[in-house]
Amino acid sequence: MKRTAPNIKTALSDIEETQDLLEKAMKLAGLVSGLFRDAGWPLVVVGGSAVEFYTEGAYMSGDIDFCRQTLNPIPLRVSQEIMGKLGAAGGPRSWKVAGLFVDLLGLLENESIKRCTELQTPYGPVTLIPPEMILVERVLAAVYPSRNQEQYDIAKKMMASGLSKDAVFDWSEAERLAALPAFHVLNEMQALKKEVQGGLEP
Amino acid sequence: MVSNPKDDRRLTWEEWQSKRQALQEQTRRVGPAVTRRKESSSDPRLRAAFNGERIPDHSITSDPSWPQVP
Repeated sequence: MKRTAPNIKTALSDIEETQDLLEKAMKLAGLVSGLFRDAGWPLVVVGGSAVEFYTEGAYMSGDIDFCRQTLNPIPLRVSQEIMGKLGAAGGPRSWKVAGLFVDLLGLLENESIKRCTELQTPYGPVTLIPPEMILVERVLAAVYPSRNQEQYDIAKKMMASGLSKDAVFDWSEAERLAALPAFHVLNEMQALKKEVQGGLEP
Repeated sequence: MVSNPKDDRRLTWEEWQSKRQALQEQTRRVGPAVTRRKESSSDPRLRAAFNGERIPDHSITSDPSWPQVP
């Protein structure tokens, strides 16, 4: 069923007035995703804004990173036309809209077999890379090639998020991903899980 | 093992809002509230490409010294 496109002016006005940075980012991500999806180019949110969504950890820097799901590249003219509807400045792969930066990075790299998370925002659907992928990526960045404390803190928060009772998180999938040669961090992820479980005990 | 046996990865806006506070409390138990990053991983690359700006300054196209399209 074709969705009813939101009134862009009303949506942008609401987004600009939204104080909570994550809520603001998700609303804008919904607006942008909806327009690209309507044009035949579904997008996925990756990177820091996806981490923030899963952890509520105040990790955002004010940008939203998107990757495209389709193999064919999005014609830059199409991207400019869509972002132009939002009054975006810049382009053709990075724009500023409603005080936030929107980056279109390229083709999605996602080794997970799990479905992406889908958030229905007031202005359109947002698809986010699965949390298992985020966790494994962050564990890798935290330990390889050398220990990175900032990434380690993020990996801990992603782990805590996966361990929360409301989480939709598949541990067997996370372990499968961590064991892949592309990541090779299964032992490190299991050690981190124990550490975080210890920290969560009352 | 799936933490949530339904494995339903679709969320309404209201469902998301209702879970945010509990998630924030959970993640803050394992470390400091991570401070907002001053820049994203793309910032250095973009600023290097656009004379220190995060996005290109399109006002440059109004430079009168540029060739005009007839």
